[in-house]
Amino acid sequence: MPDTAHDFIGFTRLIIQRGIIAGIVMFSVACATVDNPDPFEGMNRKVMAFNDEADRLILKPLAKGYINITSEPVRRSVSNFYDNFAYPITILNQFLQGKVRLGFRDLGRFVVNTTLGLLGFFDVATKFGLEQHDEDFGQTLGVWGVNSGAYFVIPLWGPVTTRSGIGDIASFYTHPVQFVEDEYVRYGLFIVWAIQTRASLLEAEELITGDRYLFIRDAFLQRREFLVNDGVIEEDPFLDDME
Amino acid sequence: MFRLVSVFLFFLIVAANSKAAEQSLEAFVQIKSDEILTLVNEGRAEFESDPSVLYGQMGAVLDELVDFAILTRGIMGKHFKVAIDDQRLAFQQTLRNYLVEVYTKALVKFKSKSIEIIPLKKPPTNKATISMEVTTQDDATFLLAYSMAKKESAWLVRNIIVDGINMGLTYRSQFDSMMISNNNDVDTVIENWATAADEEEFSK
Repeated sequence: MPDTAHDFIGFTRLIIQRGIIAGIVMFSVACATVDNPDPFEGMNRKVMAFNDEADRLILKPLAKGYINITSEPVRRSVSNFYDNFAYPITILNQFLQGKVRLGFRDLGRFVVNTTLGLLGFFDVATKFGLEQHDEDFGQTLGVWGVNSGAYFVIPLWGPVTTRSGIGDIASFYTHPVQFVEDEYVRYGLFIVWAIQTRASLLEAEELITGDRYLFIRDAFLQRREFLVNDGVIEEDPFLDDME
Repeated sequence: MFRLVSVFLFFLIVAANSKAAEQSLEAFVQIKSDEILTLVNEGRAEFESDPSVLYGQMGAVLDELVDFAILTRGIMGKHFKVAIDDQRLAFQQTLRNYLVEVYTKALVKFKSKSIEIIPLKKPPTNKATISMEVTTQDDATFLLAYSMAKKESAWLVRNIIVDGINMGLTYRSQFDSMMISNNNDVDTVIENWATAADEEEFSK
């Protein structure tokens, strides 16, 4: 992490530069439109089978071990830390989506949690009324009117759409972890993040029923749309065609 | 400062609640949600040893609150038309038991602390999607939405959307894919659906 004012300016400039580059790249690349959201279902199913096997052998046991050796408050703090660490991505995307007021509020949230919340381990900002938001480059593309494109399951990564996948790449390059100098610390942060994210999904996973592939695909696609609309549900398409 | 903030927050909450009371649908959903939460919280301990008691209680509440007939139609989707009445009824029964179990299990697992209904922008006529912010006991929040419609002057739930995941649509695509993999045999699909529910129960 940067420790002087000079580093901080350089850090900010880099984030902005990379953000602008990512924005331009995304804008130019994402134009694909597909009627069927999952044209590569056969391939995707194979990749998911591979991912599930890797998960069963490596990530899931680690996640279970993590739950065994940590208490709930510890896990919440770790999760808070990662949310806060990645929060500049949300802030940047609020501005990219033209939500200036929310951008400044989220900036305030980041400052409060990084300082008073001791590097983000404690979420004090929510108690001050600065609630958490979830914005990323994929959502920004959606707000800009880009179609979500096709559904893919990426090896060792999981579900993406063309749009969210491009967003994930942009997030990778703009993620504050890129500015951690020590590569062991960087990898360590990534590994713990992967384990804690997996651990947080263990409970929800038990609610998956029926065809696991379809369930995850539908849930993922619907959730992405929901995030693009900032959680506003105006109409439910489920029974529209019934009457 | 802190006290000032909490007093302010208190008034906000009171204001929000009293606003909900004016509009009958919000108040109705709040009352029903609280009723279900209380039921689950009181039945949680016993649920581990004997889940049938809570299933019975939840079933009774949901039978009055959920329009299982229309849900059956929606989830069967285009296959509803080709099914005969017996099959439709059989699926409705299977679906009803399945949903009561899944919903109860989910509520037992995700211990919710509070449910705050988000007031509708305008008073509903005969249809509404009503959203609420659910806070769990470990302070995670998620957005739950019920699609509701008026049927003979009573409001009934016809779909549920959990943090953007539209359960009705998800189940419809499950049903459709089961039809494809079972040579469009409705009976087999209904049977499989029931077995899936039993296995769920078994693996618990």
